[in-house]
Amino acid sequence: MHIVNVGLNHKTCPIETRERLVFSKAGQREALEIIRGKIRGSEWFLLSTCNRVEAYFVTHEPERVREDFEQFLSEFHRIDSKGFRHHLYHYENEEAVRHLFRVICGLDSLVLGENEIHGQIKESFGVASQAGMLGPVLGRLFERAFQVSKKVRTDTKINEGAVSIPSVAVELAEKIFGRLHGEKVLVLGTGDMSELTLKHLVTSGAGAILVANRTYERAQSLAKEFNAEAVHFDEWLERLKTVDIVITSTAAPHPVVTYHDVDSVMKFRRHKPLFLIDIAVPRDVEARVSEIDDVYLYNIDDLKVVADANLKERKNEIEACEKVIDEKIAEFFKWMNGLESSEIINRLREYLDFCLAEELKNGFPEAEAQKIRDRVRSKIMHAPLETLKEAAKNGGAHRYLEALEALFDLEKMRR
Amino acid sequence: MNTESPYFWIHIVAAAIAYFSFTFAFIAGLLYLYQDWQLKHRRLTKGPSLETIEKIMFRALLVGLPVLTVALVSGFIWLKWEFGTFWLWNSKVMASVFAWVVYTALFYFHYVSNIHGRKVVILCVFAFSLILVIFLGMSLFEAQIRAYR
Repeated sequence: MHIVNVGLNHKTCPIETRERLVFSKAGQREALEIIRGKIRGSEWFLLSTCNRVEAYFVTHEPERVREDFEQFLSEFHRIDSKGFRHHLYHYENEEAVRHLFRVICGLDSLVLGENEIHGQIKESFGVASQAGMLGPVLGRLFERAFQVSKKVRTDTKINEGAVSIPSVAVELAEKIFGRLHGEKVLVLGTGDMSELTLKHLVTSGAGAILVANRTYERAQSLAKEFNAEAVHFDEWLERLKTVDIVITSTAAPHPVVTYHDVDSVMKFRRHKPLFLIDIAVPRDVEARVSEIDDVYLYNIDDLKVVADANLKERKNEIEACEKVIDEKIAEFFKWMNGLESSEIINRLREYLDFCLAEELKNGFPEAEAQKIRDRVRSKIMHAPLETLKEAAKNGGAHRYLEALEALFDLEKMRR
Repeated sequence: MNTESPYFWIHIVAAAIAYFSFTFAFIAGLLYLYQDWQLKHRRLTKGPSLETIEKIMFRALLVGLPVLTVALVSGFIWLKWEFGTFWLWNSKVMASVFAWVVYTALFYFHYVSNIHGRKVVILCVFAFSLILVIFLGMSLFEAQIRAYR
């Protein structure tokens, strides 16, 4: 019984190929059904996110799985396997389990330590479980994986501190205003990054939004997208009196927001804190503005510094995460070995019962035959069981089990 | 000293509660200034947000100020009973009256004029420090005078 993982991710495969191999949510179930027919095994799991496509199997033919999976991907997506074959990775047993644990903890993610992957795996787990593709091994493995992920995220700081520009902006806003609850945002100048930052702020609870842009139409189109109010560019200073957060990203070659502007506005605001996020290069806000009391000015470099510092902190936590993962891998395989040995012993028991029943079926009444069968079986099995128990203490039960399975050809007793 | 007067006990308990609240506001104020400094210097720290700390600080004043008023009034009544006068030139009386004036001003700035931010926090921290100085300084001074006599 082997656990096998085959897949590709953002590290091994370029986006152009990856995006052609992604499974939609609806397609995942259908894909699982097809995989079941393609890959000889007893349990199947498929994970597809924007950064990875990978599958986990429990099988007796690990060496064939990679090829089969490759063929399946190629047929399902109608794409030549030559295009992605060399991007596939393939792990077995302990390495496969380690890979899963690292993935679910966010150690293998594009953004180190991100939490989203936990939810994505949980969702795929639901799909596989509903489709009846999970058995005792993968069921247990994923249950363990969720535990590892939770433990790593509570015991280490792998997911702490924002590591992207928009999320740093949100974290800073929360440091000033507490949990965002309807804070007013002014967007000065539209652009991809300002839009992304605005999106983050809005999902975190920021409220009314004003958009000002030199071209009023641009302001209107962004405003429409966010259900916001478009403001004429010459009005923004007046509106600054009532907002809490400002995102600036105009293409102006000189500062748009001056010391004098902000200083005069702060008196009107009665010194209610003002958070300025200057994403523009060259900068939109005069650097001196940060000298004004209750004004917190962060430009793109400041945000990057915070993000990098947080990322460094996260990287420092990797070792602690690996330690937890190591412990959990050991625990899992202890259970797995136990499962395997009990399965082989059960098969041996069934085999003996089968032989004895054959021999005793004529000449003894049923009750008598049953008694003899139980006694003989116990006697035969006593010594090997004791030896196995002893060997298990030293972790050497595996080779006895393999021998047992081979000598009695117990494979054929598999149901 | 006549400690049987109810005013004396009201005064003691109220003063204790009031100064406890002011100490709390003072600590919150220090925390606010620390967080403000960190944010100005591009450092993200743990701990509550500026807005939360400010809220806590003013809540503490909201408790402290009325209780201090009760402490002062009961104190003056007790003085009149005990010494026949409403006023004594001693550290406790002076510090308390000073505290009442400053905290009332702060209360007015924040709750009536709706002023926020660093300046009111500094005033709160500064006021408490000054009260401590007056209180400790004057006590020391009075002790020395007593020793001299």
